[in-house]
Amino acid sequence: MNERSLEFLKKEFKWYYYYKDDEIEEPKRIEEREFGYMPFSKGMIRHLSLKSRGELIALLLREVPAGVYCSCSYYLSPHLPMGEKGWKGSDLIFDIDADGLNSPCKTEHDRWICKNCGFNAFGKRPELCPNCNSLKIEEISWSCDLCMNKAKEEVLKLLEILEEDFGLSRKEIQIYFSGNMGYHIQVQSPLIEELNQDGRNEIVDYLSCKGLNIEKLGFVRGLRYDEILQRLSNLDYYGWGRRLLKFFENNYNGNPTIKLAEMLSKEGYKKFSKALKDLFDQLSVKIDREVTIDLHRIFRLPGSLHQRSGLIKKKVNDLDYFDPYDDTCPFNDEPVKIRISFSPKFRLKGKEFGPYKNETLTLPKYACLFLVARGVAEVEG
Amino acid sequence: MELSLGKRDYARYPFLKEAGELVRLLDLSLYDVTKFLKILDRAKERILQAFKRGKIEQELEDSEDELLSFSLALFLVKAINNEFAIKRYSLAEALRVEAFLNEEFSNNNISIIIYLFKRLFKIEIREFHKDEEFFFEIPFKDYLIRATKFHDESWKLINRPLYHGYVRLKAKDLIRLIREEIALMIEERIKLLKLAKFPEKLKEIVNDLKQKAPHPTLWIGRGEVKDYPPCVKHALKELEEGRNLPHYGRFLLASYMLAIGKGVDEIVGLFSKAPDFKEKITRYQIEHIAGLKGGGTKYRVPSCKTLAEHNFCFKTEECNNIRNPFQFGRKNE
Repeated sequence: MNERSLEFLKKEFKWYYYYKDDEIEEPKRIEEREFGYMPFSKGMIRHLSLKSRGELIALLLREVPAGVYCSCSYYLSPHLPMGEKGWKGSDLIFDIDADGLNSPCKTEHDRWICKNCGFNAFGKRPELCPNCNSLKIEEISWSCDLCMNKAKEEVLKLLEILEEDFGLSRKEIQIYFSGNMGYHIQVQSPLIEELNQDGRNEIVDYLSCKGLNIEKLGFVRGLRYDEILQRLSNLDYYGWGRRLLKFFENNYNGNPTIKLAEMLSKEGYKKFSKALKDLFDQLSVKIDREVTIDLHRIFRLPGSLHQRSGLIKKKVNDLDYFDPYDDTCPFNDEPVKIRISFSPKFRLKGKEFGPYKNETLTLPKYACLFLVARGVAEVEG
Repeated sequence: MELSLGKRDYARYPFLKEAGELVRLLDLSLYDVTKFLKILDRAKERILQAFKRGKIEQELEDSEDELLSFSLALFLVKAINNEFAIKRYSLAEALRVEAFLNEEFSNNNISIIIYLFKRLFKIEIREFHKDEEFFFEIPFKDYLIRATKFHDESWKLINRPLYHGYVRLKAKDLIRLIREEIALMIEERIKLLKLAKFPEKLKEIVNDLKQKAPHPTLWIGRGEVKDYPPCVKHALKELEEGRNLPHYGRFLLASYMLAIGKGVDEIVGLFSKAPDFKEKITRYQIEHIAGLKGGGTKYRVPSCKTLAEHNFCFKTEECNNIRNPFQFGRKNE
């Protein structure tokens, strides 16, 4: 990114933090949180402690960071080095990223670029650059309505399990658009606050349907039809058993338990268990394990801007009606001239843009900011 | 729910606060010699059974004597002054409690189980009935805090019925969950005892028990490393072939090599084929793991469980159920 583009981003970010500071959400128990920020000049600054909303806004205006973060954990002394902070507890957080869902649209909008020779193309990144054999390849992921809707579906799956199985109340769960390509879900509840990494790892396994022994559900090898039916009588005790029954209710006629017992005795254990595993993979929630189990993580602050998009990490009140590319872009449509190296089609504030390739254009400021932040355009003089 | 407990309950669950109060009231020092010797014999028996079999059986008919023998046994174990013996005794007492709780369940004394969970560990368990079936329900948080210490897959949350925040368990599993905590509670009790007024007469008995106390038979991993564990081999192969390692792969390789005594220079060399290799950064990170830089914490080799959580476990049969890559090839030496 050239100097002019960097100045452009900084100026607009500063404008946002100055005039739109109402958007910044003050974290609960602010004095027990660790804060960190990433300046535009790179490098993370961590282990900061803030006492109030005023101090937080002052930091944003003074530093104008590219990204600002807050711990999911509560500490006795947030400003001390990690081992000395005195961990008190953590919110439970989930990251659902459209990029990780492997939607078919990825090949249409994701691009890679060789940092060595500049060669670039759409689709999945190769191991080596076909032009210069370099290993230094950067991926430029993109998202579209299709993959963002897939991410929404994952959020809905997650909410259902958190409420039905874990008994968490909807009031304890906040959903945010991440500011880039997915959703963050944050649970604040005394039920989970004290859980350590191992406990959180078990929750991730549960949600991802990892480590499930289908014999526990009643699908035992080598049983007769009537014995299977008998074993399946408690299928609805298990969370994944209930979801399996629901899936069969919605997709097949007749009694789901009988249908399942018939399938197992007809197809044999091996074939049936493979099919069941595939189905559970499909029904499982696709979350980023590392994010959920990491108690030391600092997480993007709600209301702050994402440096790779210029969009707001915004609270979602009604997921059905939320539009990540309409409700989260704070900038105006003043014309700005930019040089775009490439961009797939995208939509912002209800307007369609692109695709572009090696062209100089004058576009509304919000679209320019998006492209410059993405690293695919530079501001022209 | 108020539950009225009797002397027999105190004898079975002698670590309860009410039981302690009864012990103070009874005042062992006022007993005549015959009765005292009977209690002393039972205390010795408790300790010797724990040392020999890891289990304490039988129960004196007189609940007061049984209760007092527990208090006396704690003093004797304290006087033996051997960390390993304290642990072994405490676990045996916990197993005894576990057996009693299972018996309570068989005799349909559900309320005492619910009471003990609440009284000792502040866990609110409840009953769940459906047709002929009976389960206990425990909040998932209380379940996870304990069950994650077990390795068998049947303890994984996903393999348990979970509904509206409660895990359903059969009595045996529920009671198993608190074994270690009861042992720890007894262990703490022993450690906090003060031996200032320890009677001379008992010293002989303590010396005899000392002779019979167990000592740890630890494997000590000082043997020469003959072969690397599969995860370390995988990391080396990836680097050899010029691929970048994920964070946990790097951490494993560095901490493992440090643990087996390799020097920082040699380890830096291992990373030199990584496409993103920067000597200065790599050296700093390895020195950090070695505790030479930063906060001075020396990092241990991550456990097999942690590596599996980060998708960096490549276990084979040769791993022989080790829990840490550092144990590879040394477990039975």
